[in-house]
Amino acid sequence: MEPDDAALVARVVEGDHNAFAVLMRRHEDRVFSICLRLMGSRASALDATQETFLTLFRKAGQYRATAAVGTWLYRITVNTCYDQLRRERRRHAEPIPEYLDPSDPTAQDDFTSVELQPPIRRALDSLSPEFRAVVVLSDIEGYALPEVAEVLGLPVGTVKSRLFRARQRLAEQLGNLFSASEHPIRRPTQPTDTPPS
Amino acid sequence: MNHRNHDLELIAAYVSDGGDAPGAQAQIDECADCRQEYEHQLGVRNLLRQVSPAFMTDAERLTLHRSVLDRLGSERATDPRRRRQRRTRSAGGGFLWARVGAAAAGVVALASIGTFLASQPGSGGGATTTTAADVLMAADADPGQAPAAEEAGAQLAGPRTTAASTEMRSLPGGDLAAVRTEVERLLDRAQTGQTNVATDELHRPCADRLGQQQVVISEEAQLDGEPIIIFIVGGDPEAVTAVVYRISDCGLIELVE
Repeated sequence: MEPDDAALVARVVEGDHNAFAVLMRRHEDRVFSICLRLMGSRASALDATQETFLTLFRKAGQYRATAAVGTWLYRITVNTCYDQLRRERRRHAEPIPEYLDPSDPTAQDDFTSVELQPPIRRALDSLSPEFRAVVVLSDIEGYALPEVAEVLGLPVGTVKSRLFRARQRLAEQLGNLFSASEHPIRRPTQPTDTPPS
Repeated sequence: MNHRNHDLELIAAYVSDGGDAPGAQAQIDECADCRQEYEHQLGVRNLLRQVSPAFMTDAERLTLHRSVLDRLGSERATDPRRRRQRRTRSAGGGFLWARVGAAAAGVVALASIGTFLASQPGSGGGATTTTAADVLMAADADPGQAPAAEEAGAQLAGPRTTAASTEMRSLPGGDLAAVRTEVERLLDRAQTGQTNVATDELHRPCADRLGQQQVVISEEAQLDGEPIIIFIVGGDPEAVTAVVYRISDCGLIELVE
């Protein structure tokens, strides 16, 4: 049985590169996914993923077992993306849309499997990084709100507020692309065309 | 009823967590504005849930592992405690592989083929990846074990054939240690400028997985009787990388710098 993440981090602190390799393999796809949704281009996401794991290696000694390693690592991921986005903004660089990345022929497969990617990408790009992070973690990566709060180091109330406003903004931009479907728990009990009371 | 009197963030939480937002459903039932907000929030959430998870391609994974390895390596080189080790690694391209071979000889147990990649969504096959980070780890293994790898390499037997041949007995390779020795030989060849890029059509799907990376050597081999293809990639002879795929499904078997 493979050791858990916390045990691996302890071994990384001791300089165990094998433990680092295992941790990296375990989390690299999730880290890359978060980076890609936050950064918007595959090249930038790869850069951020690399920086995230280098930070993990350097700061392994700062890990405290009060949070799961994944939570700690994804917080590093988000902060790394924030830093990189700030640097990119300073350079005024236009990100290459992920679906146009010419350097990777297999990237097209990812795009064709998600037809709505370009408009969603544009809508997400219109959000500030702080609001985008909440939406990405909650609605794309599927974290529960308390987990989002923990990853971002924010109160749950702030997460709810940002999520509400971010979705409002996205709804304005994506209005013709979605329709409210069945709620996982319940549907509204009244029809939607009922006049306001 | 006016929605300004209501807690709209409660609706956001309700959309996310369902039953974890008590009172939200009553609010939605009573207030048309709240209901409209609820539908907008739910619509956005449902749309975003359709977004497929993002995965790295093999080429991106290779790039990531190489980059992390390079950065960790350079940090090790500037660390006085590591300086001697770093110089040793830089001295010869084959030395690192001798150490990796030593790992195969028992110092480091690599996971068996067919487990790791099979668990990776979006990956092409069921093979084990030895990441660049693994290689870095292997470089820390006891170099005294290296002769075992050389011995394993000596097991390579039989005449080489053209890449189009699928006659297992005549292909280089054998067990994992023998394949690694063959990869080491090809890396050495690439570093001395002896290239061979006659990629057979049979190998085109696997070569395509390398993206835009320049293939300088390709050679068919076999691993435990199964046809594999070894690519040596990289425009700079000092920084070539070996990528080993299983031919049947282009599953990544090994990645070696």
